Amino acid sequence: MKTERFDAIRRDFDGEIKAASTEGEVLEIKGRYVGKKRGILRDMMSAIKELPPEERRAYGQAVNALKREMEAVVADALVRAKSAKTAPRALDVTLPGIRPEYGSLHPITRVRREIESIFLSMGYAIETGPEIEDCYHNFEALNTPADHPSRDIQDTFYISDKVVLRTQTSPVQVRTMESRKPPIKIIAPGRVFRRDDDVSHSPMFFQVEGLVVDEGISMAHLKGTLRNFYSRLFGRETEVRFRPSYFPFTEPSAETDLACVLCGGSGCSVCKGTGWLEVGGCGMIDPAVFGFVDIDPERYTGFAFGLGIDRMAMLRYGIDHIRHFFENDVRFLRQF
Amino acid sequence: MKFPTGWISEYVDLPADEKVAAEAFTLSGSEVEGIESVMGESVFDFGITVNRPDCMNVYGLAREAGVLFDKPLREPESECLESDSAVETLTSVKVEAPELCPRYAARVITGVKVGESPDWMRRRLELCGLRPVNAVVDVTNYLLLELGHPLHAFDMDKLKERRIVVRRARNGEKLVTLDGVERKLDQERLVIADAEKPAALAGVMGGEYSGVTEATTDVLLEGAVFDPINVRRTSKAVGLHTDASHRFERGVDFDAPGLSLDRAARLIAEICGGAVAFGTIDVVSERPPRSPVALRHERLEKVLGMPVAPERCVSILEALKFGVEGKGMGLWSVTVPSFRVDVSREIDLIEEVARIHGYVDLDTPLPGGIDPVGGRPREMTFEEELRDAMASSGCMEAIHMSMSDPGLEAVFDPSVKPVALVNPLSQATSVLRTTLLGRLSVAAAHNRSRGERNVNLFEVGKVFKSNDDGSVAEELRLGALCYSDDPPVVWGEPGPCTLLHLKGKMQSVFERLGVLVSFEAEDHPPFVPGLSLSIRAGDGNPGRLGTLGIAAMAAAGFKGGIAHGCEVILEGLSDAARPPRFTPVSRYPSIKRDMAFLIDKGVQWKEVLASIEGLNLPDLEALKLVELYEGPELPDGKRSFTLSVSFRSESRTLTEKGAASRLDDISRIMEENFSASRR
Repeated sequence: MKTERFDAIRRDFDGEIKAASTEGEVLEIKGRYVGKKRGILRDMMSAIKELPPEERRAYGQAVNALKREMEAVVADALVRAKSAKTAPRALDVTLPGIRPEYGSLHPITRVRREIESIFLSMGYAIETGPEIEDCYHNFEALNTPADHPSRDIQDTFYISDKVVLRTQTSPVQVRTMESRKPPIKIIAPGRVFRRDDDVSHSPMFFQVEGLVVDEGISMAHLKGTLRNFYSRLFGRETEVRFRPSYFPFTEPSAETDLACVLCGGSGCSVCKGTGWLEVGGCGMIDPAVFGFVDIDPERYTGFAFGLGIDRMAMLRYGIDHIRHFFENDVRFLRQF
Repeated sequence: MKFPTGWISEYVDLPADEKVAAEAFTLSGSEVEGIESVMGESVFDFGITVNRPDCMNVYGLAREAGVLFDKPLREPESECLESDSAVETLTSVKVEAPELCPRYAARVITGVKVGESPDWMRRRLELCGLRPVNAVVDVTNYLLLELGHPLHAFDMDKLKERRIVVRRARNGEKLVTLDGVERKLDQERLVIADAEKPAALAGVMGGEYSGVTEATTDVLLEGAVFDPINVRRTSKAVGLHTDASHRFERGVDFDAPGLSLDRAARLIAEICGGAVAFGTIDVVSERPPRSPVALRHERLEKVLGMPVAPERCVSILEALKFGVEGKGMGLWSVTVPSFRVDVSREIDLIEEVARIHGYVDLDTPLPGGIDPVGGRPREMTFEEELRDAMASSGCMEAIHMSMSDPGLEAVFDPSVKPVALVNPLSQATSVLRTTLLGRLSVAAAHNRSRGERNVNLFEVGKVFKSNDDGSVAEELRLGALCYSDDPPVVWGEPGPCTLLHLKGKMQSVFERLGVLVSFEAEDHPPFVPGLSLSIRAGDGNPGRLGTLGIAAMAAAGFKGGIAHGCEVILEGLSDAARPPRFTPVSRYPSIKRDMAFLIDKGVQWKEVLASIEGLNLPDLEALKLVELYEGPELPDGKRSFTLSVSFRSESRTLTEKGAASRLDDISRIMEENFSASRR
């Protein structure tokens, strides 16, 4: 009989709570059922005195349990009622969230930071240099004399006879070796300029230059460094291949081919079926360059490498065209 | 540079699988950039680096292939039947400028009939991208492609006194080159002249009048060596880059003229008939010094970081036609063949061994040690934090080309002289940007034209200017541009950015970086007068902020809407950034009151703030503007300021009474200074 009573109270309570839509209504129901001064449950608890002593304990526990349940239901009902008050109607939780205003970082910035943090963790320093550069640092000290055809490898924007927009980040190598002696272990990220504007080239793009000079540095260290770096950048063990090439400031020189990071080397549209991606030049510092910065080439050896941040970003995010980077279409920018 | 594999195979056996051949070429430094099948023949497109002129011909590539595939090289056929008349009786060569022409060799063929060259020769020229002309010219081109040495053929009847003088041009002398263009010469240009006038621009292009035509009967064939620097300068000066100049400026084989002339004479006689005069005129002024180069095996392994057996080093170098003489344990004296103009040092020899041995076996250790300077410099860290702060304030990072339009930049900052490029790609990209706002505005306008009605962009990058003394300077800046054109109200998306929104962004961005920032109302281009501010960041880095004026809106290409921009100089600002300093947090409650005042519309917030701050009220915790209201029910010329004032002590609980007296002080100063009454 007591159980029936409990169930009836609970049924009434649930019905009333469900019907209540405002905070006031909920509070009124709460007062009537579980109020400290005049609630129904308080009256039920008072009735405990009329029970035989052996039943009192179980009865008291049952009333308290019911009270706790009702209080929890009331708490939820209050939250619902309050939300309904702040929203124009009962809250539809499937509505889109209200976002804080947040912008985005350019994909080149994002990839540049990833590249930098990999090299920072390998003990490198980051160096920078001017974007307007003199011919001495951009060419001559990099073993590229004025009357040599190697000047033609890069089409140059001139500001005057002796001043150019840097065609590479390599002049930072020279500036660093001028300012301090080995051991040197740096990367130099930055804008570079080539007088070149076609389907796959942009007259401005971003490079990272790497330079390590110390006793006992070899071509094997260069390959190890690049293999480690690319594996970490693309998140999988990645093979690199050296293809002999020519750069005026390195010897031996090589192009770095990377096992295609999309197909793993089996051949796809990105690597044009070759399984390899050409990612940048590298080599051992030419002794002539050491001559310009007064470093003893017998005691020290070093390597240098370059890579395109734009190219890495294209591979990383599947961007199909370099032109997207500098158009600053917000439909592009907001994807990053 | 295209060469049919069939032609290379004449001199060396290539692997049957063209892909195998191509890969081996590529991995030894003569990159095969493409394989084409033209008219049923396989043609390799080589990308030969500038240091390897010896590989810019069929025979040179065959020589490389011989080493790569360990096959013998076949010699070119060069013996020719000579007549009884000695070449010296038919012509003479005088070299007056030996410093620019260390060798000049010539052969003569008389009585030729110049017609078309045979099909097989025309076909090969065409496969390599050359246009057949006539049999004699074709033979010289054929030899250029085959043996790599540029030859030139003169019509002897056109040469005054039928002789050759190699000399510097006289100032003002003229020559019409084969392309029909009249070139004005000076004494920096080397010419091949007859007794009277120039007949060819040495190493670059022949003259029109002395060239071989179908009417030619006697031919003088030139095989010379010219100074690479002079050829390059001449080629640049006259704006002519030819197959000949391309090779001369990279350096040619000093010993090549003889063989090339012999083979050319043989082919001309074969095709055009005629008699090859006996002998060759060969004026050698100065043979280039060629001393042996020392190679240490230990050094080789140290640079490469891999073992290469001494016998392997020797066999590679010998296969490449170097002379190797042992000089004791791991030391060799190496003589360099004349066609390898790129090799003169030990490191060059190390590269030769490495490129043939290959890098496949190269181990991949990491170099130890860390850079003593190490890490990211402070300025760069600041720059990165600034980017993050700008992005979290709702702006998208843009990156623009540094090149810009001088007209655009002049509108955005007329006070600065831009840096002009000598050789721009177009007028619209002919100077370096002097502002970030210019390109940011153009980008926003482009976005508007693509339907975006709310665009917030920023960029961190360098701008450039010319100084009065002719020097140039670069300066790192932050630029931000917020544009809106009546954007539709969209659920959950922020509304348009107003001038005060942008000001607030700048305030919170710089505060977050620990940089003090202040603003002063001041007019600047390109902003609307009265809607323009000066910024001072840190210890005084200047900047400007405002609403874009009509000239800037037009220059950027906006067709409507409103744009607010901001640009701040960042140089040195990282030094002014202060790390946060802790102040104790009070345990006592605050007293907070709202006060509304009716005040003249002309009174600026700055003045109100200064007046109240001037009271130096004790325990003032915060003074905030809650609401600014203007409406018809207010008296004319008045508006309502609602302030929120809060007091809190660090040491005690404030009393209502104490707070009330301070509120009275505020009311009093507002009344005194602005006749503002409390509402």
